[in-house]
Amino acid sequence: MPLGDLWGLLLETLRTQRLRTFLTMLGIVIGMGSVVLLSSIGEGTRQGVLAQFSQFGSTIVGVQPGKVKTFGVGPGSIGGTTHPLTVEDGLALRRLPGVVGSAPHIVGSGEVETNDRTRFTLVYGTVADDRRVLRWEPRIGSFLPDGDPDQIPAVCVLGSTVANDLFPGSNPLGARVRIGGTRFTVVGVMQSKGQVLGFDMDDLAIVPVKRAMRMFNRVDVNEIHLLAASHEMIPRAMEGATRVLRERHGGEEDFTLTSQADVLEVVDEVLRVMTAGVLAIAGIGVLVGAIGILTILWVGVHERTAEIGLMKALGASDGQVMLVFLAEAGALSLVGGAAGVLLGAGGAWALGAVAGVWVSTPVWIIPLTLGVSLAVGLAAGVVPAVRAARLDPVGALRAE
Amino acid sequence: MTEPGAPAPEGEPIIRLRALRREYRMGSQPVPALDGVDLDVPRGELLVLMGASGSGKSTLLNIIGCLDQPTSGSYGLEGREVTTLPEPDRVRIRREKVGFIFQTFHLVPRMTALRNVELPMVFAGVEPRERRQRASETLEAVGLAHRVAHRPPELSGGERQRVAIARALAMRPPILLADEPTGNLDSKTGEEIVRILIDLNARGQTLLVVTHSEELAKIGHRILRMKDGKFL
Repeated sequence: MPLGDLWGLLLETLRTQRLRTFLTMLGIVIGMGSVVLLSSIGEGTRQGVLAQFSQFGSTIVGVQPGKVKTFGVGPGSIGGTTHPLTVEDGLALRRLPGVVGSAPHIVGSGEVETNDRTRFTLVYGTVADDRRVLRWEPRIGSFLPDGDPDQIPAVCVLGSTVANDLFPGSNPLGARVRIGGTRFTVVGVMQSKGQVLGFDMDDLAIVPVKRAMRMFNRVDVNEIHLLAASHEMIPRAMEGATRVLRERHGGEEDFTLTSQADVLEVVDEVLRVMTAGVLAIAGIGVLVGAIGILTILWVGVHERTAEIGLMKALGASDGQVMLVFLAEAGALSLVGGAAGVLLGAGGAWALGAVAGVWVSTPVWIIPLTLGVSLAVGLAAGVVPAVRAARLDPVGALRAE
Repeated sequence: MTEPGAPAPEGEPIIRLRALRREYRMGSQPVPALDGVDLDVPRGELLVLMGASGSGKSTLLNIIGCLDQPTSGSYGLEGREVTTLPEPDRVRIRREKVGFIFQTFHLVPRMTALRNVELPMVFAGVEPRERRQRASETLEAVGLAHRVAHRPPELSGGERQRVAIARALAMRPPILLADEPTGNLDSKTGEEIVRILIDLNARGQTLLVVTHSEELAKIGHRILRMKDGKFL
């Protein structure tokens, strides 16, 4: 039977039973709508989190003291020795092939004081390279100057929140502040980065790493960020870093290298699994929708018994009878699925626009949803359709 | 409608039944609905089957229309044995060789008169353009040219049966099977239908009519009475 004829028969049936058609589709609409909505939220979250992670560049390799590849107690606590990471380690790594930046840094907190104001904030000690590593530029003024870490003058760069708080309405450049009791000259204010994974990047003061170490009475740094020249250079940079650090640490591998790419991969994987789990739950809705179609079609076959007998008397083959009912199931679920896509994508968009939720409707969800809708509908339609096709025409015609 | 039937035509029978039996199982006991029926229907005959309910006349009509299968015996249609045919061929017979007219019309209420008449041609795969053309011609032939766009609930009983006749004729089948075609109609409307049937037969249409109306029976070239699955 040509598709056009099938379509004609379908429309005539569905049009006269608008309410029933609508209610039958509702299950699939809701099921598919929630699949699209939830996958939009899942994908949006994944992209949002990844974007926050990767805004610092995905070619960063972190060097942490201690060997922490396995579970258990922290490094150095049982046996073995852990050499601290030093600024000099960082400078040595800077010269490696494939490495374009190295930022040994230390994090602490302290008070930043002007003559009349004080703010307690994060103090971040680092070197000039960090500007490139973190892909973070000053909004005004400049970043820490390059050069021998021991020779850097007492200058600082303020986060925008700190700058606004301490210097409301005035230009902080050239101003003198005291950080942790030490005098610094403000040479720059960073661009606002806002919250990154819940941490306010604008609430900090950046100072030369050696001065921060002195301030916190430390001889080592927390971590060294290496910036590889490119993705392809990451393995080479890591290899070189391992070799150099082992040499410098007396042959011991008492440090850990983590590439940002590895971290991203793990985060990505976790979020994908989460999304898949949520989708599986939404799938239950689709199943309920399918059962709805099956039920309504089953009832429909019963109600239209005489009509099925008639179709056969008029020369419809069993296959054609089956096709008519299958097409009905397929059309109901396909249209329901399409409505679900619109509803889910619209809902996701609204959530993003109104509530600011991270959403991103993946394009592949549309063919997938429509395909699954059609398949589910056809599967639900098989049983009623086969029943219709197998009806004995004589008995069926007598039913009324 | 009391017109006497013309003399029965002769020649090679279009329908030829021999020792036809149809049994239904009621529990373990087989109950015969047809108990060895022999029948020859020449082309162009208007044959009337009469009998009480359960006499087997509807079963006979259903077997001739390939809606039902005999338990045993032989059924030849245009010289071809039908009982041994596979299902696709039986479907083709329903499509092309017979047209059914029912007591309760069996129109699809959500379709227009035109679409109802088109329906058998849809299953037969006739092109939409040709289908529409033929459907409206056939409706015109039964006097319903002005009703093509109406749906059955908007039509009178007589009009509905005329749509049903047009539908039975749509595929131009050599045999028309009518099961109590006036059973649901008042006598005046019934008369219209009978006139159409006589008219069709006069133009050569082979026609089998099942009825228990003596009045309608008079139109037949031949009246066969059935009881307990046999001809009297």
